[in-house]
Amino acid sequence: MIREEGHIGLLEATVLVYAVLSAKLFMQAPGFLIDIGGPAAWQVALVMTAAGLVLLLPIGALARRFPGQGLAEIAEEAAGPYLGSLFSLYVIAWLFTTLANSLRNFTEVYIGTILPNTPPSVLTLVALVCMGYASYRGLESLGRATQVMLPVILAGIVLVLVFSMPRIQLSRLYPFWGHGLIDTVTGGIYYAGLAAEAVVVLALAYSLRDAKNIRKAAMLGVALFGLLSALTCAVLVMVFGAPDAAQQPFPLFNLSQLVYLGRFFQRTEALMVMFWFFNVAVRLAVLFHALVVTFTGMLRLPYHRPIIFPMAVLLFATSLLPEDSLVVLRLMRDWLTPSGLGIFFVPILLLALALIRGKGVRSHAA
Amino acid sequence: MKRWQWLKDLLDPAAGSAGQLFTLGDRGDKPAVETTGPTLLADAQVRAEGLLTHIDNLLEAKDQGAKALEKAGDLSANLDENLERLKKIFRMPANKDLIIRELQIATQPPTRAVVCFMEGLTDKIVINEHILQPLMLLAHLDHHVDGEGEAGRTQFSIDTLIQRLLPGHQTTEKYDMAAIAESLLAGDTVLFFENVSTAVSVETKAPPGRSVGEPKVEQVVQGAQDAFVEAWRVNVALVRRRLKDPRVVTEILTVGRVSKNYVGMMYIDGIANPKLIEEARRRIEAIDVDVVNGAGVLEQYIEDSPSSMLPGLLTTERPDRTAAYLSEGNVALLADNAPTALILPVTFWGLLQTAEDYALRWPFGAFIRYIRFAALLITVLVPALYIAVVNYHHEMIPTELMLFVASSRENVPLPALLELILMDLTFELIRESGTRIPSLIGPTVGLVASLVLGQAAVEAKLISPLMVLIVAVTGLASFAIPHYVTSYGIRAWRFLVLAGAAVMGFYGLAAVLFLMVVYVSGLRSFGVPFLTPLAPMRTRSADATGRGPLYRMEMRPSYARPLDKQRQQEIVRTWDPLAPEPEERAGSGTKKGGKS
Repeated sequence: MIREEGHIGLLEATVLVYAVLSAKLFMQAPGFLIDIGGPAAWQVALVMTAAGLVLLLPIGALARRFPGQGLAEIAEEAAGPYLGSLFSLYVIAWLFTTLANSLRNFTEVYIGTILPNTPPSVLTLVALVCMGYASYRGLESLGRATQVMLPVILAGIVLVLVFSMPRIQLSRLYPFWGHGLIDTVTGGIYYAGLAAEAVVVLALAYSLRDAKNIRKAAMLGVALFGLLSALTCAVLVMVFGAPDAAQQPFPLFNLSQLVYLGRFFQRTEALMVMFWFFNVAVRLAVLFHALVVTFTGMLRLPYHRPIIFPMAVLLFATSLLPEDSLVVLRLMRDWLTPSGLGIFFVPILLLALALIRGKGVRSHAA
Repeated sequence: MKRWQWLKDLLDPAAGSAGQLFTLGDRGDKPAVETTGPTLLADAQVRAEGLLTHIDNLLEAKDQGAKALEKAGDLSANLDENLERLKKIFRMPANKDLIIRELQIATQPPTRAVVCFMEGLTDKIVINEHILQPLMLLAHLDHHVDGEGEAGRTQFSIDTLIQRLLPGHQTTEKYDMAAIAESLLAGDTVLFFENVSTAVSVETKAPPGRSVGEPKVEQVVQGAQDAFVEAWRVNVALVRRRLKDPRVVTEILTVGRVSKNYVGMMYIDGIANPKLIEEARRRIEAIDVDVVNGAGVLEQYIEDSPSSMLPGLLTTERPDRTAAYLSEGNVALLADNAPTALILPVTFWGLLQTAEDYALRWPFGAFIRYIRFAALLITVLVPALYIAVVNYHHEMIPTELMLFVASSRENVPLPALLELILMDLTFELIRESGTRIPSLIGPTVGLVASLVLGQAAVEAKLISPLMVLIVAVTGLASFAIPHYVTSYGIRAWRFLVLAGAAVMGFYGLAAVLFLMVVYVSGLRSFGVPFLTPLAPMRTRSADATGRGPLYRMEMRPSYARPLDKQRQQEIVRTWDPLAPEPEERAGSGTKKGGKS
């Protein structure tokens, strides 16, 4: 494959991984965590982060063995053309479904919050244009753009949490261990799939100048996401109480609606939703780009740009398939998040195969 | 038959008059060879004559060594032949600009010679006093000019002529008609001699031009008040007087087949990156067009993304700014006939800076940069935010303000968007006409604009007062963007963002902004990412959105990859009792450039 997208550094890669994951905080992810962990949802978030970090460890070793290559190329070299293609196909299928689901969920959130009268297809189309254009411009542009937008992306969460300070009650965090340590730990591991999208960094590994940075970027991105997830869960619980917080359809949005800092500064949710758009658009764009380049790599096509339009059309059609937002949520919670755990095992299995088959840089050097 | 001709012409007007109307079109008939042939034939003849003479000269010189071969051009030893070719090349006698003056050099016996120069481009006094006078009056004073002549005779030679009779400060021998034509067009005076296949060019340039004036666009309160003019050599001198370093290099490149415009490429050898210099040279030499008229046109031929809304090079009319950029490792292009320099590479932040930022103490310098950045955000966002809030997100506005907005719009029949677009377009119209209008009637336009369009539109209840305020604030903010071309781009963006907000409120606004940021993040200026040092992040010597104290800006900005990264010592204010010892500062880890 001909890569003419330039390069990204550690900072850009970290920011990309973080933005891919953190967009879930505006959706229903904190609700899932609070549902399973109760007042100890923040502990679930920390366990989830720790599990994600452990599962991501082999990424670095794998990337160092195959420097300058993307996931599809690594899979093919490490596992051979047939098995490798199966691995790529699994990742592609998961990315495609996740992306279609995210797209629809994103549309539903906007319809449910600030644009109730806009047809869903129009919102989806706008998001698709953003994704497609970002992928067309390449990863370098996207990485840099995300870095520029990072303050806004962070402000979208941090400001809401800070402005909610007057409403928090520490006592709502009790009982401290929530539904019990076992529930917390098993819930955390179950939801580790929420961080599985960090594996996309491997799909984009071809663009990183230094293979060593891949693991660092994935780790830092997941850690930052975990930290903010824990904070968000804690604040939500402290403001609404665990049972109510778990019932909120758009927890962070509902939190932002409560912001009241004097008569002039209130009802900031529309502004916050605008900030969140940047985060969600980056998430969709990165996942879409990873999907397109993995697909291109698997089929050994020379350029990724011709794939953008057909893939966007397929995604558009697929995203409109679920009947309503409840189906979308159920798909996400019960199917896509658990299957994300399987995505963690792709690099692990590829590394094992590469070691067994003696593929990669080290074996060549020997 | 004639009796009915008038009726025929009346019914078919083309039949009577079409044949007499002048047109450049050929009405379907290809032009006859007789009309196009002579010009092409004459050109070919001149080229062929030159080629044959060149071959003759080469054959003659082949046994006389390498130097003779070098001097073997396409000039004939016959003066009349040379003159004839020169006249054909310059389209004489139709062309009256080339002046040909025949004379006899006062040698013994006299030597026939011809002096040629272009009217209007040359200094007549120099020609009279330093060329014609010595040749016609003084040559006979020294009968032994070459020391070898017979008694009472003067043997004519080019070397003697140049060394003893032509006091011009730049005198060069020419062997080719093409070089002679170029020299004449540049304003030099060329001399041809009988029986000599070498011409002599004397520097007599005096093209019309104005004197150095004040900057028109980049005015400052504190700082130098001189600006570039159309003569590129003057511009080079203005820069050079600020950089008295022998490493400052001015290369001369020529662009345009017809315009043959000089472009002076300035850089500091040892600081500027050779890859950057080579790339600039490569792009300029690749320009193969008829006319490159000024810096604005040159810019479009060499920038990375000519269809971008933001410029890929920095244009400045200030010599001090050019000198500062050169000292940081950038390259400056000074095109002839352009009162601006092109600086490359440039970053987005450079387009928001002025020369004055450094003339003020750093807190103020940084402050005005932040103000300018805020102005950029206001220009792009305020109209769109207003439309999004008024049309889609009323709940954001506190109740009292919402009531005020509603009451101010109560009597206005137009929707807010139309109101804004009308006002914005009117504003752009005033701005454009204000730029083009003669300065004498400029104040009238200002009066009409402020009275008729502001007050009258509000009183007629076509526009709400709040809208006038928003358009005025936006317009004011757009004037705070110092770079002229950038402010064009930013103003165009404003309409895009407005379109997004008008269609889908904050969602559309955010989508357009996202696309813009992705777009700008991918732009490059001579290979340098446009948003550096923000993205990609370069913490050392960052001098972008703000600026630190000058004495702490030890490193040159890294984006141009200068060869010599350090521009000043770590401790500059050595006399300051509070200045830390060098080791102490190094130990504290503050060896950084200016902060942003």
